[in-house]
Amino acid sequence: MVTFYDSLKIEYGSCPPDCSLCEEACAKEKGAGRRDTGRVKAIHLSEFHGALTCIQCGEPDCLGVCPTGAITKSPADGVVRINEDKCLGCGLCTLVCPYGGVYFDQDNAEAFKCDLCDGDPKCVPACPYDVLTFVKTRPTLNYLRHEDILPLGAQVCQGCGAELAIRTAMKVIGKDAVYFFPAGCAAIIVGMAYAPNHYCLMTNVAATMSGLKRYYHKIGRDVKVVAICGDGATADVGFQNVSGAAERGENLIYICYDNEAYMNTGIQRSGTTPQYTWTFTTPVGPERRGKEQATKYMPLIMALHDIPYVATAAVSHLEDYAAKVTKATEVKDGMAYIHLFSPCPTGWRAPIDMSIEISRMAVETNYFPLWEMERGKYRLTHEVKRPQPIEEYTKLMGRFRHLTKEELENFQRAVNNRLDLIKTLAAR
Amino acid sequence: MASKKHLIIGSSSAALSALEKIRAIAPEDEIKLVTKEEYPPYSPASLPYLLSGRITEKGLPLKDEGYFENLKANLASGKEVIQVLPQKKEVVYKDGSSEGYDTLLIATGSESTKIAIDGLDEIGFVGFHTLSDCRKLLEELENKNSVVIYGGGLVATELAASLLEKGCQVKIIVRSKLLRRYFDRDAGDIIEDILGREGAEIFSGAEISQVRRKGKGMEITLSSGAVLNADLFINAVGVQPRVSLLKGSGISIDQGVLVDRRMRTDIDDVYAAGDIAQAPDFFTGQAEMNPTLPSAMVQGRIAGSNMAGQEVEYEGDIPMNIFQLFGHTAFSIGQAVFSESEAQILKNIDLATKSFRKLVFQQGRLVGAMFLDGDADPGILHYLIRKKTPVSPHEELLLEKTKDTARWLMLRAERQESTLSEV
Repeated sequence: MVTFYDSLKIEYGSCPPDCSLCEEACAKEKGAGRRDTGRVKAIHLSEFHGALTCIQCGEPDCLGVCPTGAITKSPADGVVRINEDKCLGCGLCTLVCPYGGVYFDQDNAEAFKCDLCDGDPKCVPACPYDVLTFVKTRPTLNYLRHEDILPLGAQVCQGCGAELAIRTAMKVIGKDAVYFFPAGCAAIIVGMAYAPNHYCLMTNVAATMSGLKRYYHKIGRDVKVVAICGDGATADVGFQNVSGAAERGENLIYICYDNEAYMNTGIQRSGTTPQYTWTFTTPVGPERRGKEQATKYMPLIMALHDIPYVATAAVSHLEDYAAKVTKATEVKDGMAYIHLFSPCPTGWRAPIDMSIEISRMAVETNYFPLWEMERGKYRLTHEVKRPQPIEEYTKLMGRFRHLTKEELENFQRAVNNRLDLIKTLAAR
Repeated sequence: MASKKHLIIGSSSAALSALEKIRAIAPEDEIKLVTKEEYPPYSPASLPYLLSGRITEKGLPLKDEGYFENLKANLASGKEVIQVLPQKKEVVYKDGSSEGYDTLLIATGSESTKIAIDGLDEIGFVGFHTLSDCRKLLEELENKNSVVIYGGGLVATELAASLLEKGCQVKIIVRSKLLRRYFDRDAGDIIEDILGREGAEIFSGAEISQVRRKGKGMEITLSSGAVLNADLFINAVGVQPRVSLLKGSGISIDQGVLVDRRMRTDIDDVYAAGDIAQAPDFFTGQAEMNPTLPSAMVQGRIAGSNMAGQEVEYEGDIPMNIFQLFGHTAFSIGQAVFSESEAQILKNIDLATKSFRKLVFQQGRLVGAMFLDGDADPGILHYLIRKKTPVSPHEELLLEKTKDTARWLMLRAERQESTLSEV
């Protein structure tokens, strides 16, 4: 049964040379100060400086091989522990652990390993270099156990990012809501849901929802209304009614899955399509270099309507996304808007198995920063420690294949400016 | 999908791994384990520690009470299968009853290899593979002190260590050389030296021609003419798979039950895993016996996956072992002793500290490792071998600074599997 598992995140190869503060702190806590009894280990070679410890495997080999069943994985916190009383000191666990997570104490003839100090690992505060982070899995995993509101067999393209995003949102929100969607990719997904849903026009989703929500309010029922719309309906043709509903303070949950074009009708540019992107209506050739205009940055536009909650989210960061959807459901006095980065392998000319990687790279290049605004307070919800150059993102998709060095520089500049703006707002 | 009934003969490592895997994949399938043993499931690997007194019988069981109930599995103890009828998809028990199955896993493990020595049967001897063997041995040791161990493998070595710890006089008779399969001559010499300093006498390259009673004990004559005395004779020559129940079933058996990379025998819906299975070797692809605990665990998982309908293939067995010896740790993984002629071998022997390191490479990848107190993570070396991680040009560094280098190479390989490798 999955609840909230504990884990230690270690930044790869980020340690300064000759540092072993984590190991020493652990040894002090667990092993009477002898450094070789530390359960997190510093690694120092001229080629590499880092640390490692047990990764608390889901299916631990050490547990499987132990001849007396001395090793167990707790269903409460997911931590793998060795029961000293049952340990034979045979060393088989050290023989099978692939990740260097279990060690042998010759003096006492027994095996030992990290147990995350039962939720308060002493190595983390001992490291001044941000290498170690204690992570608790978020409720996302709980949601993922819920029954799927979508039936099997969604007729979307292979690798569709929207399908995952919508399915996750529906698990978090639940069946107790009415879902609204316009023509677009969402129609194929949400239209099949085992929950009440309504097929609107691209130009009137927010208006329709407002009407239904006011009706329920009038008869005294608290029913959630949820929009699942693409960027075309939200930022372009439907912008008027979205803006109106926001300004009137309608209590809607509005999720815009942004695949950066009108995709369902065959890849045509929209207001959120980035500059230089290839689409069928912004071709690349001797006369044109993809879309000429810059992106219309919807999340900030919606935030400036002064609604209670706005957030950006990406399918590669599901915990962050699920937490934001949860916050959106808690808003009762106005609109909650989530702008979702939704990879489209078909429209972006990318391999069908790359959607999550593309999304992750969009976040790690700061092309798509993850932030939220709660009643005027902005904050970044994910700090990118080592931002990647924008080429690491653009190279993953065919729609950017034509970019010149100068265009990439412009693109990078736009990314930097956008992040700078968000950071400035967050610093207020 | 209709739920299936999985019948598992056996209740040790391979069987339990298979059980957990099937239950993880198929929450509704019926799973039944049958074992001829009366005692709750345990591993023979624990017996030397029971003998030395490190644990009592209370610490022996592999799993807690309630384990089978939690997994919604049924364990029937004291139920011996004497026949398998794959055409009827049935097994027959000793008590005459029979039981059907949808899939069958044979995980009956091994038994001590039989020995035939002139005069031994009349005097009597003990084996060392089951709990009842161990209980019998403990009983004998109440009034006997001088022991002969016949055998030169891991069991013989661990047994010798446990008996020396108990203060017994120990003589080891080996037909070739102690631990020949896992350790080469140099390492083997150091290990024998350690045992010798603890009081053991080792007779290598020795054949027993006869055993005769002498007073309360026995006189053992070797073919060289040498004569030894002892009170107790222990057979630790080796193990062989328990296949007698498969006679007449049509299942192909060579040295053990032949299985493919999905742990399937040549009969539909019949699988084998653990000591009993003869499975493809990782390096050669040929079906070999590899009766070790880690192998049983992995084979059990693969068998379980395939039985539950998930097609998973086994990369193959890598021979490996680890043992502790009076404060020393020795392990051997992969092609550590016998390797291809083109293999690159790096060795480091330190007679002063009695430590030994040997790494075997082929085409820039690690294929074998043999260590005696070399300060390394054996599991990471196993990882590098199994994943065929390119380690060139760091072979020398891997020998010189094994622990840190292996850890780095493993982390780097794990990193490269994720696309954030440039991050």
